[in-house]
Amino acid sequence: MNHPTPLLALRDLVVEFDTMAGRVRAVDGVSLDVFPEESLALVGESGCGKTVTALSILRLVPQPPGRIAGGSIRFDGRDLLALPESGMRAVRGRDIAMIFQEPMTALNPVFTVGAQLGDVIRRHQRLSRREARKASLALLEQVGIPEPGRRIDEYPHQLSGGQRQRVMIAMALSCGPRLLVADEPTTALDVTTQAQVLEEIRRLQAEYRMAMILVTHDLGIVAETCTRAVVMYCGQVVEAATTAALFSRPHHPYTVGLLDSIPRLRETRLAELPVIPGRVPDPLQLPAGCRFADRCPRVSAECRVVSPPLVATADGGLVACYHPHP
Amino acid sequence: MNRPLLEVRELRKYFPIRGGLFRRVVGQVKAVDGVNLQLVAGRTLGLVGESGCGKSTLGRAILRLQEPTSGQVILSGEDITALPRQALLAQRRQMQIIFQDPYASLNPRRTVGQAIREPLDVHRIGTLAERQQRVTELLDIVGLRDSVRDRYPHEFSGGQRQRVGIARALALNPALIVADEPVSALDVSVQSQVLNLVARLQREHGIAFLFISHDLAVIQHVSDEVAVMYLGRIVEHAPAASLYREPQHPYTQALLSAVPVPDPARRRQRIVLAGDVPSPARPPPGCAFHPRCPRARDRCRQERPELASTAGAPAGTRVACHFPGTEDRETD
Ligand SMILES: Nc1ncnc2c1ncn2[C@@H]1O[C@H](COP(=O)(O)OP(=O)(O)OP(=O)(O)O)[C@@H](O)[C@H]1O
Ligand code: SF4
Ligand SMILES: [Mg+2]
Repeated sequence: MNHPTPLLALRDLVVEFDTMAGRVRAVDGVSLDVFPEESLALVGESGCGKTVTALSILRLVPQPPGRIAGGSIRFDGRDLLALPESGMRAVRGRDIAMIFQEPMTALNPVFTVGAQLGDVIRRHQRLSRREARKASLALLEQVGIPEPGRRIDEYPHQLSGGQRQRVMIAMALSCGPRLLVADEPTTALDVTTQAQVLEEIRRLQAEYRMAMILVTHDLGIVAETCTRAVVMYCGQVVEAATTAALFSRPHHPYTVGLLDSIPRLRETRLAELPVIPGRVPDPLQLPAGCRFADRCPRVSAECRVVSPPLVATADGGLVACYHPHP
Repeated sequence: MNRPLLEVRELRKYFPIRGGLFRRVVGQVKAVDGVNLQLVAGRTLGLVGESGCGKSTLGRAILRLQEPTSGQVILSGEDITALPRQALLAQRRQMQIIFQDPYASLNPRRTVGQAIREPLDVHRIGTLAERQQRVTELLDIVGLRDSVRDRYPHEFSGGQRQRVGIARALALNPALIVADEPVSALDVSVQSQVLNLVARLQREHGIAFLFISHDLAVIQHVSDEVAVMYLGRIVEHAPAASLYREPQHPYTQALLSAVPVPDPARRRQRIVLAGDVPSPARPPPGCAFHPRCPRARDRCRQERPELASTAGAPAGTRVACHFPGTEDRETD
């Protein structure tokens, strides 16, 4: 495929946490590219390292107990890991913005929506208070908040979960970032509200011509929102492909198992759902070789020796498996 | 037609809202507001709705874990809402609950074996040896090795803990299990393991389930019938196959269309609802769904629709809507 240069490139990223039980490698050699204006899904089960990967991009991994222990993160040609903290602060918000699963924790309960939004805007643009308020109103309207003129003077707790998430999106967009990192932005929302917010995110992403990394465990959201997807398992990338290819022709046995086993709306109910046997290994006792081996129907002796490297597939994707599905 | 195992009549659960200097009651949150349900022995009724619609409160009020404000719950012909506390305890043998959070529902200081045996101890069933034997059986039913009985909950994964919770609920051979979001806290790759287990228990042990979830795909996999709840009331109740194929209530339709489909080749018509769910402290008059409903007319704003069968709908379907139907009608 003929790709432009990536906007963001992660190479061999390693992030470790010191826990009471020992040192955990939450992210273990993750490499991925994000191209301008694309929407990339980062998908996988709880604890596989999606959030830590996302936080690393903004250098927001809590330290201690965590630290970025290796690898590189290049944004638009610059090495983010080499920037001083002041340089990184400028990148956050201006170039890369992030939204989180629980907007309530990211909003300050004692300030009005307008005050917080205005603050963020004025941090990056030289505007008077009045101008910032006008810009805030316009943004709230943009992200689909009903009655923005009233909402702007309300406090976060007066808004519904969906509206709070819209306010977070407004804040993220206020400085026109080129990359939006959205970590499970709709997981805390009801399904009908989720549909509204995802619709809004898709529209704004196209309108602002941003690239987006969408972290999610929901394959339905991946299918409906993203053009490409990276599948993680136990801190590593196991497969990367266009969304169309991933769903029609998954290569990694884990991806195949996941697609088969997720409960989804069907024409008729199945007598038995296919399952992935067993469970995710303990991050403190990872097996040698492939981390999926104990649950894998295609496992061979070779799989248990050396971790399979991520290699190119015939259809332009990547897979880390010795016996991938054709 | 079998006599229902469970019959719920006009059940209400209101929570008082207190305010002002003297903490007087200034309003009521109508969490459950006049629910009627029947459940036949050995069948599974899926109860689906968005957060705050009252589904957990309904499940708990049925078991009298929360005292209903009014209405009746009739289990095997006996009105359990009329029972004094002591008699209720005996009836509890027939009905058990499984919670969403397997972490919170197990005592961290008791072994898995003790946790599963506890209901047998409380009800003084059999000798100690017989109880131990029953624990072995139960572990086997839920797919856990007997050797885990002496271990503590923290040594288990979420999926395993949920199996322990299920084994415990099964201990007394209940006729009814209320399962409140039993897989929502689990990883996607183990959800299907637990769902299969629930389906098998219903099939092989004839247990009736009231299966509560916000996830329509999960509900579809386990349910014979489905009830959809909105703001404290059932808005549609139908055999599962009909509900998914020919939903009649505009809210059911919107809910189904909002579920993200893991198939990029399928582009669907989505009904995006305006606004948010109103507060159950101030439910809109008439049909509570009218402010968000694409079909709402004057009648909907004034008159509350009752759950009733409707012409043209599949057999067994009941819907609370003045303008039910599968196709989106013009709202002129
Ligand atoms: N502050 C922390 N201290 C210790 N360990 C941590 C910390 N944050 C994350 N971890 C560990 O890092 C690993 C990856 O966690 P991460 O939050 O990235 O997973 P995730 O894929 O986002 O999961 P989820 O779907 O549950 O959000 C886990 O093993 C987790 O326990
Ligand atoms: S490398 Fe081996 S064990 Fe790992 S996923 Fe591939 S076949 Fe399975
Ligand atoms: Mg996460």
